[in-house]
Amino acid sequence: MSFEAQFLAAIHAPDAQSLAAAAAALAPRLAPESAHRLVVYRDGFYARLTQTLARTVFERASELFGQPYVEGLIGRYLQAHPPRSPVMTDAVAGLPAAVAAELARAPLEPGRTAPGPGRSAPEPGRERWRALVAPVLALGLARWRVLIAPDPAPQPEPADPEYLALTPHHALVPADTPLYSLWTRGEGEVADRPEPVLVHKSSATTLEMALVPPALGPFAAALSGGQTLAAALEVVPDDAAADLSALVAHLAGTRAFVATI
Amino acid sequence: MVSDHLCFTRDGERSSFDLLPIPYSEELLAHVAARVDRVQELLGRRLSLENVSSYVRFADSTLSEMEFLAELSRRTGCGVLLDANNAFVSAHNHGGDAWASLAPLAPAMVTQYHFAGHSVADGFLLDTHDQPVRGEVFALLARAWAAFGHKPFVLERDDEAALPPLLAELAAATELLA
Repeated sequence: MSFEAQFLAAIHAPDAQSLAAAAAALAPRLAPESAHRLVVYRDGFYARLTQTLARTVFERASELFGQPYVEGLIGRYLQAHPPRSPVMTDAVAGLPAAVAAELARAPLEPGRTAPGPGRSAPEPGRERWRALVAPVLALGLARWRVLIAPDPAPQPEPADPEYLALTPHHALVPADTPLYSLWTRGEGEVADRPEPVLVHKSSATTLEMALVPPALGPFAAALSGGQTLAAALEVVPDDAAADLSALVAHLAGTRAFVATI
Repeated sequence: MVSDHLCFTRDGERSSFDLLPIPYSEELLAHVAARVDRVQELLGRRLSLENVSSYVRFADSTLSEMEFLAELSRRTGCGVLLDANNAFVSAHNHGGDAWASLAPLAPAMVTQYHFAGHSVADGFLLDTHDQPVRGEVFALLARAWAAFGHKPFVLERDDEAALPPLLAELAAATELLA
């Protein structure tokens, strides 16, 4: 095994036992005093990655639920799933689902160990938001992936629904919880309704989010699945005309559509 | 100026998200020199390589980091981006003298200076870029400035940053190096 692979095995070691084994394997290639110092790299790796993700990809989740709590979620996940990709968002691709499963299984456990800075449970008053933790993480991840996707092309002309489709660089984040309200307005004004969110990029640095009304769920899913605007319109119920106009106007006005020919 | 660090970051599939030291051996010197030659040929310009902070050393190392960089510069014509904080941190962590570690360098090699703050943890100095620049690093930068010449310099701060103290640090550096 190359020294690079041995070094990375030590850095990614999820626990002390794994680190000791990796350090022992690398020790013959290190100066005598160096083997026990691999922990500096290993601790720094998990702490830095955890903190960076909490401050960037999951910044909104940190604001809503507390950064120490979010860092605890990220840290536990990274220990269980050491990153295999140099793309940070790939390292936490499974985090929302893992958190949803974890929170569905058991109450929050503030004492769980995690690499990285301190951790704590959510404040008691926030317990009712448990169902929102995973969707907020999912939306944070979706937004970041859209942000690092290629920039939008100029709006196609003419705007014929037969030849328009949603940009492939978008994300439709399903939610049976009031995700959009919580994300945009925060604590205290959260309605109790499903609020899926559609995310795309209108410029190199501007992300756009749209609340998908319940009646337009199939329409958004059709667009997200690659159907043309004309085809997606076929699944819109007759009584959703007002919602449809608002959503399509938002998408058209924020460069969400691309030409299919 | 085009620069990168003399380091590795991944093993093909796993990333460290960090700048990891390499063994400073003749074998690696030939390996890196060939790649520097290729990069400089592709770019049509000089590449500079920066020293990194480190906490471990390799048994295979027969050269110091600065000896490696200096020889790399002689073989390829590449520049050396001298990070005073990294040099200070590494010297402390490995029990050496930071100024003495720079002896292999020559003025024509050094193309730019970096300096930054570091943290202390368990006896190690960590290159965290989240603290004010320490006096010892300023002093090392000043000695390098006098020895290797007046080159562009960059104050690095990645975290815990507010503009007024950063500007004050930059002013202090400018005055020190005037």
